[in-house]
Amino acid sequence: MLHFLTELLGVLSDFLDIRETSVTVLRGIVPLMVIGWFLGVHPAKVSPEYKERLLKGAVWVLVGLILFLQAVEIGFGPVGVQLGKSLALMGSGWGLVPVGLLLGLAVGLAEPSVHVLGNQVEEATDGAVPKRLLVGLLAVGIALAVMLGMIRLLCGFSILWIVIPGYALIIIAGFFCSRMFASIAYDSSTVVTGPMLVTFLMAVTMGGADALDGRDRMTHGFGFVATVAMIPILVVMITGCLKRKS
Amino acid sequence: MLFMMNNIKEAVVPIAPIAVLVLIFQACLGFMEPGMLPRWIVGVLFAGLGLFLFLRGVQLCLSPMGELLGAQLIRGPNMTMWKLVLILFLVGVFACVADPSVVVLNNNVKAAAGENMLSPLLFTMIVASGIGLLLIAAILRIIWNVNPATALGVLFALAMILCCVAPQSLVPLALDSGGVATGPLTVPFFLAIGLGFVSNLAGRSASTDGFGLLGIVSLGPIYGILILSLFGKG
Repeated sequence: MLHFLTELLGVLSDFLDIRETSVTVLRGIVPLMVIGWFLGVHPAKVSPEYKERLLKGAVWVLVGLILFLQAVEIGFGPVGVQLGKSLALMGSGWGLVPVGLLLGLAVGLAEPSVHVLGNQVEEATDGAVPKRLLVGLLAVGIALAVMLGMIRLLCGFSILWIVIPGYALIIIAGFFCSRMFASIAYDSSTVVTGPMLVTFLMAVTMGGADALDGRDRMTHGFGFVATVAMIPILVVMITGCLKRKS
Repeated sequence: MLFMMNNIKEAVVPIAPIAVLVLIFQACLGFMEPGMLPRWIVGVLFAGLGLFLFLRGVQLCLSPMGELLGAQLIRGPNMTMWKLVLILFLVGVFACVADPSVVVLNNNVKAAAGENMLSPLLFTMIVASGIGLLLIAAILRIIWNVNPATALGVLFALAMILCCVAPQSLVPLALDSGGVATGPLTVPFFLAIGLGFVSNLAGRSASTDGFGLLGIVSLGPIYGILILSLFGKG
């Protein structure tokens, strides 16, 4: 117990060293706030209370960013990498596949933007496609995409085998559904590529790529976000096409 | 108060399953090195807290600010096309630099680029510039009223051609950067700008023209990285 507490204190002291993170955060937020303030807020002549609210929000953004990024660097990242490494070293590394499936499912079901997208599509199809169905399809799709990514990591084939057919299908389908559906579909890739997926999953794949023979981080560790991002576009686009036909 | 519940949900719900899953993995596989469990717990708690504060802040500050900015871009008395383009570019760049997903991606690139000649600073600049330029393209698409399916179809097809001809080692990274750069900061901010813009544009309904923007913007980093890689890595 005492050992755990000393470890915990060590981690916390690492966590509290926020100098580098603060610089990273400030150099993006400050210019953004300056532009937004002088070119957007000031000319609009809003009330002082409104301005106060904006400034309060800005502080929350800053603090939140610093906390989140520190947490990723100290906790999320290293553990993810370790998970990837261990799985890659167990046997011939095929443990990565079911783990990938589970992680993808967890992300797909839990990500709130997935549910928001589900609502949007239900509305856009006048209830023909219930939200539950879409969320389910997306979650399964994401899980399979992560699994596919892991298989790619283990087998080493080029990502072009995945993206070229995928996007060809998307582009063609785009011309068969309504303008609105095409827009929603193309935008939905941003829905699933949230900070959780990017931080944790990427750490796992980096660890895996490190530990596997003949795989490197650059060529094989990346590519997961892209594979997952294709899924919502495909699902929504095909839903839109089918709706057009009926 | 109700708003806060939303933000809490948005921050906690994505993390919870992963947090639990990892603990289950640890119980079954014991993959963690000594000293990692406290790291995980601290990481999960503060990631949740940080994400909650961040999302709340975006809702209180960045989204409204984006809408006001968007409105000014179309309604502002001294606005010229050149000013519009410049402001959009700068906004795109800085929003991208500030986005947490991009920061994390950058760290991963740093760790991965040992053997490669891609410097992390150059990488961030390319990604951010790509976002800035395609943000301009997205707003122009709205102004010129180009069909989204056509615009995006063409842009994606071009991206795919680039993927085939560029050095293959950078393609996965380039593709990832597109999805990553449309992260929790850039997405609501750009959407807000688009909304502020469109709602002041006569005769447009937000439902068709608010969207398509993110799809176009997400291609920015892909173009940036792959086009530059064709000129030889710097």
